[in-house]
Amino acid sequence: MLPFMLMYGLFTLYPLFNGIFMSLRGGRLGRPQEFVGLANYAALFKDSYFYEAFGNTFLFVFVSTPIIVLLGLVFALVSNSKHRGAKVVKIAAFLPYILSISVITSIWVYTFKPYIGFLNSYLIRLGVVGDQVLWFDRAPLAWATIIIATTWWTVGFNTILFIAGLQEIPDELYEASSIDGATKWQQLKYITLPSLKGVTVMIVLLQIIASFKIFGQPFLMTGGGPGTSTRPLVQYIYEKGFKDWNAGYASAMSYMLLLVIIVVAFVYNKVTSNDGGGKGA
Amino acid sequence: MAKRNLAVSGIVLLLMVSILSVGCGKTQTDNGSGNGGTGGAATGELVFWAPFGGGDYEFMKQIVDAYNATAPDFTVELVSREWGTYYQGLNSALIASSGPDFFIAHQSKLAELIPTEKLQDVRQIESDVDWSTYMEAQVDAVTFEGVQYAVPLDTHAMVLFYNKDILERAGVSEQDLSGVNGIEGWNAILDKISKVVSADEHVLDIANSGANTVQQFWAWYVLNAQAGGSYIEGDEAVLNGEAGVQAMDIMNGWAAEGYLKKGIDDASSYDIFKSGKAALNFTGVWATGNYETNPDLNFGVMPIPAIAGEQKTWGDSHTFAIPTYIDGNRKEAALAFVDWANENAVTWAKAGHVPVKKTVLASEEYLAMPYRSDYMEVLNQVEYYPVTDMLGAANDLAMIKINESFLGKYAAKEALDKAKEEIDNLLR
Repeated sequence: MLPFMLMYGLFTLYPLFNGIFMSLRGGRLGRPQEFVGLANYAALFKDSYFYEAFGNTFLFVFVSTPIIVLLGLVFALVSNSKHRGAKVVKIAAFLPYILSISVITSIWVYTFKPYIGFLNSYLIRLGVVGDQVLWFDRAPLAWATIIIATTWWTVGFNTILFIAGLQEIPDELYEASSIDGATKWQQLKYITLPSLKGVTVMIVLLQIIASFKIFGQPFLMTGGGPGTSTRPLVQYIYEKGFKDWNAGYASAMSYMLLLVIIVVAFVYNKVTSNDGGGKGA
Repeated sequence: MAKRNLAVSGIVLLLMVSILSVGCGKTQTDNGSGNGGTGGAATGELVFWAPFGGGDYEFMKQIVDAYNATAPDFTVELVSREWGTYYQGLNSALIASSGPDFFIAHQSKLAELIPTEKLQDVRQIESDVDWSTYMEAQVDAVTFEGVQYAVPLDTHAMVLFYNKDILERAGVSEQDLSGVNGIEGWNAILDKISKVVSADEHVLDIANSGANTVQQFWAWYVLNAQAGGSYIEGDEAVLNGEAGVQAMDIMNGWAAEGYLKKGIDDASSYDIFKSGKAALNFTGVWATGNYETNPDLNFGVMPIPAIAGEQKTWGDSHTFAIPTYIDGNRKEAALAFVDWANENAVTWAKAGHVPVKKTVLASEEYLAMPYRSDYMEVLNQVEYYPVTDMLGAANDLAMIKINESFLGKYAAKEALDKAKEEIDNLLR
C-alpha cells in the first residue's frame, strides 16, 4: 500500500494541488514567473476561444454520452444472449478498445479523407453523392467523424461493464417469469433494465467524465478544425501549456474544467440517487 | 517564491521528462557517466536527439553509423523522437539540464530555445572547424546578436514538383513553368492544364485540410514573400498588408477556379502526386526521396516560379545545437561529429535536403544526383521565418485564419486582420 500511496501522492495529489499555485502565476514555463493572483482566471473569461472550446466539449459530452452508453447496452444484451455469434459481437465490440489512439484515429482518417479514403469512393460509386464529401472541412461532418471514431473505440468498455451487470441478474427471475408467460420484451422491460439501473448510473457518470476529457481524437483527426470548431477544452489547454508555454493560463483552464466536472458529477449523483431512493421505497 | 517556482517546474519537468524519455533510458545513464568523468577518460557515447522518422531517419542513421565506424573517441547514438511533441520534450529537457549531448533543432525554433539559456555558443568550443566552408546565409540564420547558437545541417524549402506526363498532355513545357513572371502567366498555365485533367486528377496539389494545414500556410507565406510582404516585424504582425491579402486572394482564387481542390490533407497531398494524379505540387524538398520510390512517376522539380512577384520561397534549416550543461570534451566531440556529418552530407542530400557546405555543393557526387541540383538555387531564395520566441504559437494562429479564409468563412483581408490582432496579443 505504501508504494502505491507514495506514487499516487507524487504523481496525482502533488501536481493536483501544485497546479493551483501554478494557475496563479504568469509568464512562460521555464522562465522567471511572477504571482499574478487571479489574473489568469479573469483573462479566460474574456477569451472567446475558451468559451468556444468549452462549448465544443459540452457538445461532445451531450452527443457522445447517450450514443456510447446505449450502444454499449445493445452490444451487451446481444453478447449475453444465447444466440450464435454472441461471442463474436462481444469480441468485436471490445477489440478496438485495446488499440492505441493513434491507430484508431489513423484508421478513421483513412476511412473518411477525400480522394484517398475509401468511404468517399464507395459513396460516389454507389451514386449516393456526386462529388467528394469534405468530411474534415465542415464542422458538423468533422464532429460526426470524431464521434464515430470515439464510439467505435470506447463502446467495448461500456459493453463489458453492462455484461458484468447482466451476469449479476439471477437466472431464477427469468425462469419464473417465463413460467408466468412473460415475453422476451417484457423480461427486458421489467427484469433486465430495472436490474441494470445501478450499473447504468455508474456507466453514464464514467462516460460523462471520459467525454469531458476528450482530446486525442480531435487533436489527431481534425487538429480542432476546420478553424477551431472541433477544438475541445483539453486541446486548448494543451496548446496554451505546451505550445505557448503559458502554464499559468493552462492550469487555470484545467481547474475550470475540473470544477465543471465536479459540479456535473455532483448534480448527476443528486438526481440519480433521489430517483433511485424514491423508487426503492 | 523563487524556490517554490523551482520546485514546481522541477516536478513538472521531472514528470514530463520521465514520460517523454521512455525508450531512451540510455540518455540519462550516459550523461551521468559522462559528467562524472572529469576530463580524464575522454571516450564514451554521445546521445543525439533528432525528430526524424522515415527517410530522414534512415539517412541520418547511415551518417551516424559511418561516423562510428571511423572509431572516434566518442561514438554517437542517434535517438529518434516523435515529431509531434519533439520541442515540448526538448525544451523541458534543456530547462532541466537533463537532455541529450547534442540535438537537431530547426532554425525557426532556435529563438524559442535560446531563452532557456542552455544553448552553447558553438564558436566558443575548441575545434578545427573551418567555418568558411559553410554557406554564409545559412550561418547567419543561426547567429543571433553575434552569437552562433547552432551549426546548420541543411536548407529545406518549399519547391514545385511537376508531373511531366500531364504537362506534356497540356502542352506546357518546363521552360513555360520556370519562365512564369506574374500571376496571369501562372494562372494561364493552370487553366491550360485544367483542360486536360480528368475528374480524379488535380491541377495543383497543396495540402489544405485535416489536422495539419501547415503546407497551405507555407504556400501563403511563399506568395506573400514574393509579393514583397513580410510576416512579423519586431513584436508586430504585419501579415495583413497588401501583399498578404493578395497572396490569400490568389490561393482562394485557385480554389474558386477548381485548380486547387479542397479537402486534401497532409498525407494525401503526397499520395496524390506520387500516384501521378496531380500536375503540380507545392511541398518541401524532403518529398523528393518519397516520390522517387514510384518508378512510374515521371516527375521534375524546380524552385517555385515568380508567381506573385520576386522569386522567393519558404524554407527552414535543420541545425545541430549543443547544450551548455555537458562537459567540455563532450562538446568538442559533438562538434567534431557535426562537422564530419556536414562534410559527408551527400548522404543527407538523398533525403532531399540541400547541404550547407560549399565543398559538398560543388562536389561531383552531389551534382550528379538527380533532382537535387535542380533546386540548389533555393538556398538564395529562402525567406526565413522572422525571429521571435513566439513563432510556433503565431504560426498556429495564422494557419487557422488562412484555412478559414480558404474555406470561405472570412474574406482574405478580414481573416488576416483577425490573425494580426491575435498574434499581436501573443507578442505583447
